[in-house]
This record gives sequence, structure tokens and C-alpha cells, in this order.
Amino acid sequence: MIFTVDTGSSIPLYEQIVVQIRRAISQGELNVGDRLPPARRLAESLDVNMHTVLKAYGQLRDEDILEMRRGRGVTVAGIAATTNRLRELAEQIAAEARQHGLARGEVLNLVEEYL
Amino acid sequence: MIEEQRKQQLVGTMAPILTLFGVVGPIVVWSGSLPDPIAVSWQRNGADTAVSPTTFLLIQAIGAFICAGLFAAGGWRRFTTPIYNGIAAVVAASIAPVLVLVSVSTVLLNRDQEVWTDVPAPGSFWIAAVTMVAPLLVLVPVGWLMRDTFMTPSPVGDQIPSAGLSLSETETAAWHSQATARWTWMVAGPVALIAVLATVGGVFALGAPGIVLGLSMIAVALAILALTSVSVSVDQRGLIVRYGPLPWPVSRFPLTAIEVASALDVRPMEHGGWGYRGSRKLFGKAAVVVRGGEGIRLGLQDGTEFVVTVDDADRGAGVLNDLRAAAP
Repeated sequence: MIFTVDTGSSIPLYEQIVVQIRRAISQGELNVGDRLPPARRLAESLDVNMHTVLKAYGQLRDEDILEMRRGRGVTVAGIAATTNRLRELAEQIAAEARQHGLARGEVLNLVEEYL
Repeated sequence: MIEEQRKQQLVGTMAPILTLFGVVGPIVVWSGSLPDPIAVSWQRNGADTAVSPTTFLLIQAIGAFICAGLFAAGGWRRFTTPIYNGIAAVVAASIAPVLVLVSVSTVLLNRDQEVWTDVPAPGSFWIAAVTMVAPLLVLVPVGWLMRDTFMTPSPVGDQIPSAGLSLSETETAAWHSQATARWTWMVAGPVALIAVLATVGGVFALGAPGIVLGLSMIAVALAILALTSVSVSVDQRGLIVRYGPLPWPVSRFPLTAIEVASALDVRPMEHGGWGYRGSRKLFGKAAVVVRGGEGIRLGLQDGTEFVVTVDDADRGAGVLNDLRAAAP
């Protein structure tokens, strides 16, 4: 996957990485079992401190999204926390929209507003 | 093209004719002075196997025809994928001299003997030396003539892929991916296991030489393991390939050394098989093939090419081109 960091942004670097990994997972680009580069390698690649990457990986591990094991590297552990939750919400939106007789375009526009 | 003509003459025509004459000729010419049957295999103290001269001629002729066919197919470009022409010619070049030597030496040893059991054993040193050197004498010139068939650039589209990255001065981008072999671990696993057992067993049975045996097997297992997976990264330093689970070996291609990156569908046999194939120095082309499927091709500034199989290759090539375009 592609990682980008912007040192000029007000968002902390580790958070930028967290957001990108989350997005890659929710968009299906990363799947359970997929491997992420070791923290040191990604840090060298992005020219950031290794602890920045470790902090990002650590946060995602605490959310059970990533799994970090000695010798096995960093792998995607679960997508339940992100994708499934979004799916549930989308189902709810679709159900309520049908109840209120909203057109497909109207619902999409509504969601679009919040993206 | 003079070179192409010479290749057709030498590899496609001369080599098949020489092979057929070299293998069949001696048997036919001296058939009158051969015993029946003739000795074809020896132990230290004398001949131990014999066949009729006709059988020997037949077996040798089949080999010679196969070699001649391979030479002809290689020299006359009978395959649409150029590398097969090269492989055909090189395979023929390594077998043909051995067939000729077998014919010539067998006939010379059997000549003017009354019965096959009288045929003396050949000097094993000379046989070994000649069978080692003769194929090289043929292989080197044939390899030289066929070298361009190994150098045909990989087919890629005209379009230069882009990932649509436009980075500001404070931004950096990196792309990471990998490719894993689907079956190589089935080879590497047993080899590693045997290596460990051989080391332990070898030390008990042989002492110090057992360590050498075991270590060389471990080296083989590591080499196979190194090619079961590759990790590829693209960033402002260029493209970096890491082989296997260890931090070494590594191949680096700085952005400045790369002219263009593209994605391609890698078919292992078109690159000479799996593993690290070819050589940029010798053939102008090298490929790291751990599996069939998508890969990145680098066209390098020095005119050579490097191919590596990797997942998500299109995006990787795109990021590389974008970074290269943005580099000062």
C-alpha cells in the first residue's frame, strides 16, 4: 500500500499513518493476514523516526486491528472494528431511507455531505 | 543482420550436422573392426556391460537427433518466445559434446578387439577431464551467439503508469508490497530439515568433514528460502528489493538510475524459470521470479532491465514514476 506523511500538517505524523492504514483496511486494500512493513523499514522509507511508526502500529494493535509478533512481523488481525461497524450503520441508513421513501440519489448526497 | 545469419549458419545448421556426424559417424566408419557385442560400461578392472553395435548406434542416434533438433530450433528461432531459443541451443550445446565423446571413446576402445571382455578400461582421469572441458568449448561460443535471445526486453504497454501522487515539499510517500512463492517452501522446508539432520549426523559419522557437508546444505536451504518471498519498497531512495526473511541480500535501484517503471504479467518460463534469473551485466536483463503473475519492470538508465514479481505492481510502478518525475 501507499503511505504518505506530511511534516507540514497539523495532524501528528503517527496519526496520519493510523488513518491511512484504517482507510486501506476499510476499502478492502488490506485484508486479514496481510503483512505490513516492519516499523524500522517503513520509518526509513518515510524518513520519520521509528517510534512514530511504532506508535501508529501500537495504537492499531490496541484496537485489535493489527497483530505484532516477534518473528512474524506486523499483520492485519481484524477488520471487525472498522468495516463491520460501518456496514451496520449503512444498513440502518438504507433501511430508514426506504421507510421514509427517500430516493437513492438523496441518500447518497446526504452521506456525501459528511465525507 | 550478419550476426543473425551467422547464428542461423553456425547454431541452426552447422551444429546439428556436426552433432549427427560426430555421434553416428565413428560407429558407422569403424563398424567393421568392432566386436559384437561391444563394451559400453567399465569398472576399475574391466568392461562389465555390453550391447550390440546396432543398439549402441540406435541409442546414440536418438540422442543426436534430439540435440540436432534443439540446435536447429534454437538457431532458426523456432519459438515465438525468444528465451526458449536460447535455452534450446544451450541445452543442446551441453549435451552434444558428451554424446560425441561417448561415441568416439567407445569406438576407439572397442576397435580391433576380439571379444568385449578384452576391452580395456578407459583412463578415468582423461575421460573426466575431457567430459568437463568439451561441453564448455561448445557452450561458450553457442551462449555468445545466442546472447541476444536472453536480452529481449519484456513486453510492457506504451503507457507510463502513474499513481497520481502530487507531493508538496513537506510530504513524503512510500509504497510497500511483497510477493510470496506458492510452493517453494515445500522445497525449502525439507531441504532445511535434511540440512540440520545431515549436520548432526555428519558430525557424528564423519567428524569435521560432516560440518562442511552440513553447512553447505544449510547454505542451499537459505538460498532457496531467500527466494521464497521478496519485499519491495518504493520511496525517495528508489526501489529496494529484499529477499527472504533475512535483512540480507538487498538490491537497490536509486531513482536516478531508473528511466521508467512499468507493470507486467510475469510468466516464469519467459524469464528462464523461478529464482534470480539472468544477469544485468552479462545479458542486460535480470529477473527475480518467486511466482507467476504481476511484477514491476524497471527500464534502467544504462539500458538494462530488471524485473521483480510483486503484488500491487501497477501502483508500485506508478509511485516510482511519480517520485522520479518529482525528483530534482
